[in-house]
Amino acid sequence: MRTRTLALPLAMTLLAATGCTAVAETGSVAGANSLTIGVKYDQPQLGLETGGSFEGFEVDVATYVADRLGVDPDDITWVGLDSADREDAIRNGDVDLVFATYSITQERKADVGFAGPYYVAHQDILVNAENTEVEDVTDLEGTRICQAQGSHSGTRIVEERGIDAELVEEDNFGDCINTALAEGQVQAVSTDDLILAGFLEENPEAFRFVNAPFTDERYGVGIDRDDIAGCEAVNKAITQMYQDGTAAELLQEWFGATDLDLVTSVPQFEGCG
Amino acid sequence: MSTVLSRESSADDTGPRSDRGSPDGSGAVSARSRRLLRERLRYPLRSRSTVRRLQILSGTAILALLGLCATSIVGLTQARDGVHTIGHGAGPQVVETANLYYALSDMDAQVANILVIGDQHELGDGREAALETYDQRRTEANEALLEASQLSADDPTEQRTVQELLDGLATYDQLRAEAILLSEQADHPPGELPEEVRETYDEAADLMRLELLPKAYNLALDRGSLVRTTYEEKHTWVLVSAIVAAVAGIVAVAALIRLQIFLRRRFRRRLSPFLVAATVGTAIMTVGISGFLLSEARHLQSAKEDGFDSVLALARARAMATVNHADQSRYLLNPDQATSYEQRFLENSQAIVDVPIGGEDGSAAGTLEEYRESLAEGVANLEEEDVDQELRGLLGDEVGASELEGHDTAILTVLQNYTALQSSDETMRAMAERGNTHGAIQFLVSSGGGEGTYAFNQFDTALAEGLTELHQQAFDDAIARGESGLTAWTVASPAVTLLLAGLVVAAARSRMAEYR
Repeated sequence: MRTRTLALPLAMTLLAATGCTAVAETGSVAGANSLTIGVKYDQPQLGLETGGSFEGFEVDVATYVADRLGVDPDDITWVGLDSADREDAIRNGDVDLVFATYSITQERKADVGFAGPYYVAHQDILVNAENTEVEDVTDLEGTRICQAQGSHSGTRIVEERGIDAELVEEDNFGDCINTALAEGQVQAVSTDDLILAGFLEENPEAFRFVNAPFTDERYGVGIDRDDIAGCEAVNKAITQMYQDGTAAELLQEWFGATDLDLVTSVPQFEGCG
Repeated sequence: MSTVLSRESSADDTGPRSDRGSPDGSGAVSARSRRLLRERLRYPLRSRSTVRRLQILSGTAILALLGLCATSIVGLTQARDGVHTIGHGAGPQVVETANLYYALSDMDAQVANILVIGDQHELGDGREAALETYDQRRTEANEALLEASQLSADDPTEQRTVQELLDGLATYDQLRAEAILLSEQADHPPGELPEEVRETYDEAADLMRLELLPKAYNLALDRGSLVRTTYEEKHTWVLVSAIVAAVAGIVAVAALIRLQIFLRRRFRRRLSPFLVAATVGTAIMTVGISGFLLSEARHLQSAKEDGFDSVLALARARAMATVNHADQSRYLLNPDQATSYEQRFLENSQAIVDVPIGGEDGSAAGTLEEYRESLAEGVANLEEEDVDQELRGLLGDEVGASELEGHDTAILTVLQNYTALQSSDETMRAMAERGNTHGAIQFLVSSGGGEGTYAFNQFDTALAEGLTELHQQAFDDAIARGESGLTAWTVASPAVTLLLAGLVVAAARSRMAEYR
């Protein structure tokens, strides 16, 4: 104890003299009083803007994490983000954290840091409830698959899996499911299971998840690359969210009506720094 | 004699003036100070300001010496804490936890092996060997968990993770015992798992993959963050202490020299042997302690960067490769889920060594085939031209990451073995895709030259015994170097500085005695 009380002023004096103040400490989301959080604004059940406020699984997860970081829900500023703007928003400091179906990839890690993942989604296949033939991606041979404009999920099946299927495009996945699939114009829709589940709320019994996931989409929390302490604090909050049962409750609340297999154990973290 | 005296007095005449002369150099002040000076020269031994000057200079020297002493104690204590935490506390614990992850993944790989060979008990390394390895890993996992449980006593979140792991492991053990028993009863040929065996095993494998492995991994990350923060804190403290000690030492030496000059002029003494000893001693002490603290900072850095960081990354890579090895068996065990297992094999492979595949715009994630081509190309480039083109991931990042002797050769060997492992996997999958499941199983479990388990063992040995050993050695060496001399300096530094301060007091007192 004595050495500490003696050493601290010495170091402080020296640090102050060289101009290095404790910026790293104050620049972290760990210990922040308020946070600006980026979320999706157009994904039902995940992040959806309605009447100026945001709701969905990711909004709730972000609120929980912020609370664990010591930030009151009233002190959170929500920002709706387009997928293409996520890196810039973090790099420019427009947002402190991003919870927006943001898959952790090596390329993105060159620009931004990732805490989490808080959930591992998978590319899965949705078919009509009465369709019992499709059990695997290979069963899509000779079918028509719908994908949203700008999405590559169907392309991956056709080109990478070498599945001979016809691709149909709609404006968004909502139209793919509730129009094209429901009316039988296509036999399957494929993208991240949580995104698919989000569009199912109107009529979940009419569709079936094949539950044969063929990619891991690790939804991470976008954060400044240098904020390692903040990243570790977010990871701790996510662990606690799973331990105290909140994660299971939230998954049930937002996706429980579908027949999706939900994992309620903490995912393997990417690691900070 | 008189010439010497007059020279000394004229020298003294300029000394104090330059010291005390007012900045504006006004004539009145300088006339007054000259008058004072003349008086003092006439009656030097009566001047009170001389005593004060003597006190100030010797006091400054003693304070600076005490500062040097205090700073060195701070620096040495921080260095000791850092070396201890990284070398004997959190550091080895992290590696231990990373090994827990490995033990778990290898347990799962052994179970997959046992089930995939079915009634052909002698296939590959055989069923007995697999059961033995399983028990060994189970014991290792238990030991690591018990230790982790003690270490996480003050962190409820970690404590709970450890408890969940212990519970989960017990459940896993039951499920795998049941699956093996069912498989034994069914006495099925290789690869042809009866439905109930497969269901039981799937449950065990899912428990391992979705719950146990992630928790074990996160536990290691958590510990790793403790090492990182300890290192950053201690490294900074030690460096700052080295600098502050140097400053204190310089101030002390300057004050001692000034004191020597002052005594020589005021008391017309040549040199005070006490002061000479104190000055030389302080200079040596300053260089010694600052140099030692700087070298401690270097050893901490070396233990962290050349040792710990690499050992941890390599342990993670080894565990992931073992998960992949188990996924090879599962790919053969469960044709319905073959696509998922293959995709996971690719994703894990990318975590181990990442190479650019797929479309840059995200239009394609890339295939296993593309991955292998790109990997082979990247490793060949490294081999031939010594250029690290775009190898990333746990092992890729190790290329050029250390200047340790032998590191470049060792990482290249690991990467070559990894490429060979990927080729053997390709052969195995090609057989399975042609419908030759039996041949694929035989190939996978065989440890003869070039075959599945052989390729895995070669890679595992190059990684665990070659490269990891090298960095473990670097870690141990850095910690040993960091420890050596710590105790000696901790004892010597206060003792020597107090002795030096004593010399200064002695020198000052013998002069002040002349006033009594």
